[in-house]
Amino acid sequence: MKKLIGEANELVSQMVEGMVHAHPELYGRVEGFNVICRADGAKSGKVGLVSGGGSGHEPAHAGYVGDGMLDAAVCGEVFTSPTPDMVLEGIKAADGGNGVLLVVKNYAGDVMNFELAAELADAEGIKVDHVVVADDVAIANKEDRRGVAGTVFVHKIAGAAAASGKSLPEVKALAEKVAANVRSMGMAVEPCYMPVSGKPGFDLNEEEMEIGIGIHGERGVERKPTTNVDAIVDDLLDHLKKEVSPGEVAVMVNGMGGTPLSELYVTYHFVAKKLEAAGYKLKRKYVGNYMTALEMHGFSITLLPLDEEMTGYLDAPSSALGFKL
Amino acid sequence: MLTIEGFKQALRQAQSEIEANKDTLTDLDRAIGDGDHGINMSRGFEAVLTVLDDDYVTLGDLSKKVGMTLMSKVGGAAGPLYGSAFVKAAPKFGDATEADFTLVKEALLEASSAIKARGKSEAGQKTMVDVWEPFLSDLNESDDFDTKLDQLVSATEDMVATKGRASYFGENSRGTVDPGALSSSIVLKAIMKEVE
Repeated sequence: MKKLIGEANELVSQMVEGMVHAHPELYGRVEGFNVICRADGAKSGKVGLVSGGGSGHEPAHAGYVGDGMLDAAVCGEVFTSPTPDMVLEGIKAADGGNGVLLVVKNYAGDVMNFELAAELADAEGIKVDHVVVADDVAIANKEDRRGVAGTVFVHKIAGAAAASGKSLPEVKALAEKVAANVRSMGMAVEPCYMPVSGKPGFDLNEEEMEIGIGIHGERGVERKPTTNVDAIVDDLLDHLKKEVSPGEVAVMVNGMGGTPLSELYVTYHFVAKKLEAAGYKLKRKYVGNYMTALEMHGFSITLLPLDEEMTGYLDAPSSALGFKL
Repeated sequence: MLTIEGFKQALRQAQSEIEANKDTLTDLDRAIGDGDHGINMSRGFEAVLTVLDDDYVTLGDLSKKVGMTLMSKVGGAAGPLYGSAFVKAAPKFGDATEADFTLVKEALLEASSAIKARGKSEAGQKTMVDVWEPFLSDLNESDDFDTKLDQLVSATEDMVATKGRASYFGENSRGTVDPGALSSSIVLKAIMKEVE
């Protein structure tokens, strides 16, 4: 697979350097670490919000650093959880003296590394709590569910709450409310290719697609013959509708990194039509690349039931490049 | 007897075996995970090589340093798991400068408990625990360590994963050896060789 990269092992470091150089008004880098923080440093008195994970999900997670969203993003190697010492640096960079909330996606590695970092931060006297996002309905057992695109809504809503001056327990409660209600499911027609090995995450022939993929190039839960997007959307919505009742929702059609915007809007067209026919009121709509898996060709659909409080925080200003309002 | 020099030698041996099996580990992980286990282990043990040049007064110091290095260099799930294993084995080695079979076994049992606790996992879930726990549970000095480890790795092939990323594949995870089990056997073989 052809890649537009330098030394594969330097990919993340060079990406971080590029981001900070291109957007000096927004980003700073914790020296010696692949950790992006705010250019103006931690905000005194504000609850800090930190997320991160493996790289390869751009604009996640650094794209959500900015006023109204994250204070620091910890960028692990591609699809590999960052290490505890890195996460600790992110926590320190985000700590404004009023505690830090970690937004963690439900992967064994992420949870372990972020928990270890929280223990280290605790030992240094920083108040840290964390919320685990597990929104992927493709996995039947709720405890094992992965954190995918729904995590972006947690960043946005918790970030706006923190910016409004809420306390750590209040921001955490809100983040948990979003995490408890948001649901996503994804699919791919083409895999992504790991930069170091150059190998695809899975092999698919021309006539096959993967339903229920995660965001790390791993195979889906089901392999099926390809069909048109109309039918694929039906398939994914069937799963989502079982867990999100008709009512006011935010909907996100998220590209996996290698999907043309034209196809994302075609997908959204079917998603909107079908959801409205089923009695859902699409109060807020997001179409674009929010949580990707390198160049994977596919999409995910996320639904978040809305109340007034959450809608208010979704609409609050954000200067983050990946979610500008 | 495992001496400080022997422990270092074991870690060098583990590094070269991991390097030799890097693609195999990654391919297994591609089949039932996310395809980075070989890359991550290789990065981690390469970092371990550099700390082996330092002098250590006790086996405990060396074990702790190796654990901290793995924790900060491997990433993913394997980093905290292998890192915790060596860090938690350190107090068991304590101030000893050489360890007999019994002490090595006790330290490795601590390591095994640390892996289970950090990963919140039990034997039978198709993870590295399926090598560590059964290998140590009734280990005798006279055992053929390599054969026992090979058998335990092979046994993971027919298991269905219920923990870690492989669990997303459910029944489809059957038929592939667990990559963490294979890397565990490489590390344990290297250590046991220096005890003999």
